Amino acid sequence: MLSTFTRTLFAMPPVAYMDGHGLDGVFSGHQLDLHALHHKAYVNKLNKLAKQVNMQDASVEQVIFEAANPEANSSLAAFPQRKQLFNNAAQHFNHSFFWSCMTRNSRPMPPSLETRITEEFGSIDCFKREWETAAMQHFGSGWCWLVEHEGELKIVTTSNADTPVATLDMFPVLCQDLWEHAFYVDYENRKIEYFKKWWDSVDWDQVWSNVIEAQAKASCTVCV
Amino acid sequence: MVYEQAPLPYKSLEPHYDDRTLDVHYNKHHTAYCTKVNAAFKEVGIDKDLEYVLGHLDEVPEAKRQFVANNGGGAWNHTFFWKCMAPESQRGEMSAPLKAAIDRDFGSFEKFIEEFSNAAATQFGSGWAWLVVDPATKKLSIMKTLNQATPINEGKFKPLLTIDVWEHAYYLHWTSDRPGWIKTFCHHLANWNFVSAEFAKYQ
Repeated sequence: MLSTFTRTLFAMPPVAYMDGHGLDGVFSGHQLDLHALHHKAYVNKLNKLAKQVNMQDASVEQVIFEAANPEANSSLAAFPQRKQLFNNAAQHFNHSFFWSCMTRNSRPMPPSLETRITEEFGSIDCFKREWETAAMQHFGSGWCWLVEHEGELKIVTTSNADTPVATLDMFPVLCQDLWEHAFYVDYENRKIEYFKKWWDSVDWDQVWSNVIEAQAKASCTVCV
Repeated sequence: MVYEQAPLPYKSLEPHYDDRTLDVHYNKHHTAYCTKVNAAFKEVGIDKDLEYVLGHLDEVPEAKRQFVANNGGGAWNHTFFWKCMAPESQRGEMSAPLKAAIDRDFGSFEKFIEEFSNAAATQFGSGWAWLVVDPATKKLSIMKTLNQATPINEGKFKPLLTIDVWEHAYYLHWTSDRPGWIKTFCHHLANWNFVSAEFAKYQ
């Protein structure tokens, strides 16, 4: 969990499959190494900016929410680099979440998740095709998300650094990086290949765990 | 009206722009934009030229407007971008009138490069940085646009030079080093002959 302990610096979490050997034919080791550089750059900038507004001890979710919703923090509202703070905090969260959604030797979907997805999308195949379509149709940089929102699972895309955790009522359970840096070395312009291959690396156990956590947060009216 | 994707003005930009990127960038990314905008024009019966349409997007049916803006912008921006580069020995120098305007509006060539480079480096996500002129005042300025937005959408500022900062433009060679791409573009690729000729149109 990103926010359960204090630390003096934001940091990229350890990622077990970033050992240079790639990820199940989805990403080469080189692609992942390069992608880690992007994440570390966001973290470095986040650390510099968060110190300037005394938010170095906040959770990344709090930084994101307050940078996106200036009425929540009046001193942040006046910060000239509020947008940059948002971008770097959000990209740190988004990338950390993305890494956590993938695993080596991924296992089939747990039956409970399969049931839930089938209820919402008709079938697992329908879900995957809807995801791939949303990802293909998204223009420019951004992310594709499965979110828990108002009791339903929905596929949404966001632009650039935008993220569901900037809202109070959308809880991410799965995401995929649509920025070209995420896939260009391995796939060049062949985006549909990336989207179709990516399923081989998804950690469906983690996704189900995210669904449970999202449901708990959604029903909690006092927690922040 | 069918938008024709003009051939590249050169066979190669090596060693400063790698052939593989040039190939994928032109034959896949740019071609796809041209194909898609032509399909959209046919679908909604648009008969005007691309530059007109991009400056009058409100005349495109709303259901297709963003698609035309995205893909038409991509088609137009890339055509302009290829002309903004040349093999190193063929780039020429800024014309005297352009150099004078650069010195007047930026202080010096170096300060112009710094401001242009900064715009290119800070365009978050995908987009472009531009040197533009306001024909009404003749003043030069720097703009940046998101995704495939372009100065000709609003029409007030006329483009003179652009750099593509979508990651696909530079990732195979420069990977995460966008500043390195920008520096190479400014010092080894920018086609000053073309920029000077465009500037002359508005004098």
